[in-house]
Amino acid sequence: MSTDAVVGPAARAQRGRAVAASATTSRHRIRRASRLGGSVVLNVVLYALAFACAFPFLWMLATALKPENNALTNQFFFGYHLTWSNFGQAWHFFPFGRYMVNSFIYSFGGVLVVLAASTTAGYAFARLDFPWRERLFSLYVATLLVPATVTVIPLFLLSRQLHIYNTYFGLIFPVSFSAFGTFFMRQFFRTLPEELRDSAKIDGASEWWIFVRVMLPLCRAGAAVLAVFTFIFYWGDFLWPLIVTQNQNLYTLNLGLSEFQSQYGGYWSYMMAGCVLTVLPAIILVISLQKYLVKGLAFSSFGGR
Amino acid sequence: MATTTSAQNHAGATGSRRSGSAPAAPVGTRPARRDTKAAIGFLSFNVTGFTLFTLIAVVLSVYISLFNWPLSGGRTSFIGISNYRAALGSYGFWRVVLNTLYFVGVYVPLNLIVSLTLAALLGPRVHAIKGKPFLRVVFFLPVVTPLVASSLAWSLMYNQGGIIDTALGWVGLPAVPWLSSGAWAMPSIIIMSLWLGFGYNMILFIAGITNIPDSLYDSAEVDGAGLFRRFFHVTLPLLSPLVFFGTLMTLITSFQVFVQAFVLTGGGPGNASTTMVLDMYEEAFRYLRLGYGSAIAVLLAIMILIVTAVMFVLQKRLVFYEH
Repeated sequence: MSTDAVVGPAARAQRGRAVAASATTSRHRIRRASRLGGSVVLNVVLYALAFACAFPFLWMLATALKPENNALTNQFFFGYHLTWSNFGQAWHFFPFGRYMVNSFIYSFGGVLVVLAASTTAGYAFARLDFPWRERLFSLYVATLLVPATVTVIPLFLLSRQLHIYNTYFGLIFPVSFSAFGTFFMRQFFRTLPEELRDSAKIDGASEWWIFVRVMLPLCRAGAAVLAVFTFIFYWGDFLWPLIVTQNQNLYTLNLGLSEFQSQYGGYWSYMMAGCVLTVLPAIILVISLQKYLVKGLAFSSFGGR
Repeated sequence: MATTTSAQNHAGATGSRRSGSAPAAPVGTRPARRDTKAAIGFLSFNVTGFTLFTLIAVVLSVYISLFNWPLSGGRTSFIGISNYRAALGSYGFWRVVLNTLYFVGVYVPLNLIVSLTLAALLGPRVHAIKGKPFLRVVFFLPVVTPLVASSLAWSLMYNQGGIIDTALGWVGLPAVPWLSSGAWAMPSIIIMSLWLGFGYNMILFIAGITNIPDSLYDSAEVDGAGLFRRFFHVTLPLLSPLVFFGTLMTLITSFQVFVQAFVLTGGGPGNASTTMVLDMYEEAFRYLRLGYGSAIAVLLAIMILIVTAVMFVLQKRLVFYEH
């Protein structure tokens, strides 16, 4: 294998510079050799780290495919009969199908409410002129400083008072009005030229027509990023569903898993099968939408858990 | 496009009070052609929900904390700051605060070291690494994984005689009573949290490093700066606004650590790994003392606000802004 194949552009650039400088070539050769050795070590270390990072997922899957009486052995895909029956067994203990439907309702419902609330208000704050606009917006921004967990107890009491406790409505609405989405969408609408709206108005378009047909399509990318992040957040959310639901029929996958742990914690293969079901949609989403995620990440509110 | 706007906007996001107060449209210069009616239409849905579920909820959290408010349906009664006095005077509460500070104090620096190092290596400046996009995705996956599922997987791995103990045995290390000993419960939670958390900051910092102009690295190299000096003298200063943002977000979220403790240890053994949010949850929904639980929540919010304020003071000294 030639050195270029391993080191690639770095070596080529290095060589180019070496020619340009035409200085002490022996020193360069030594440096290049040590750099080659270093880069091999670096690659090995990074891929080992990546394996360690992926290992919990692999272990989850390996255990989900183990016969239950082998669940606690340290075999890794080999030495045992791979079985898919654990998924059916998990289903037998708990209605995971129902939980999955609930998780999707919670996540998609959350995405819809967050998008509807954030795009409209974000647009108003960015492009409409009305009294108290900046003051109202400052109030929104100020609430970003309040950690979400702090409002969980009052939200619980509010949803009981509003008779939405233990309903899909109560699951979705109380946590869907953080100022973050509004703040996020406002940034996007502010990048659009002011003249767009003026010229549409001269053509006699109504405010809502302008918003739906002109502004919203131009902010598609922003709305998509917000949607993906909202989905991932709701898909993984645990504390709020834990508090606002009482009835198993409303449980999300996360609640089902936690309940499974407390009742049948010893059945690791079944439990890991449930985990695989929970993890898979999030992983698929992330891998297929990488591009959007990286763009929107900087904005996301769930940083660095 | 979106990348650059987003990168510029964290500074905006964190210092948004400044940009927020500056009127975007010069009100005075334009004839009074206001869109109040339209604005009411666009805002009504959001403002209703926001008022009810954010504003009122914030005010209520303080209000509830001043009451003896049993969830079981008993009589609520105003007791002033008694909940706070009870919390601040109890050994259990301080233990929980210390647990939380232990978590934050160890986890946040580790997270930053790991995420900065990996961002420097997987960013566009180091050419020797193969398959960077693949590595980035692998490192990022734990961030988006539902926490309950990943915590359960870790609790399986932490099991006595589980795969981690076995792996330690391969390299000649003794088994560790990960989740069953008071001394190891918190480190176990920290290790798991590090696994699930560093990817976020890593991707954030990679985006930042990508935006640093090549010319700065070229001139640093001409001056003979090696990999490390380039990192400390070019990358780090120019990345410092993002590092500030990432640190702040990580601090705020790590003060609220909950699921890992709930699933891995349930706060135990004893209360060796009970965090503030877990304590709040248990007080409110297991012991049914909503008032006392709310007082814990408010005290947590105050701690987070103080830390945020300190960060902003430090920012003036430590963060390097180009303009």
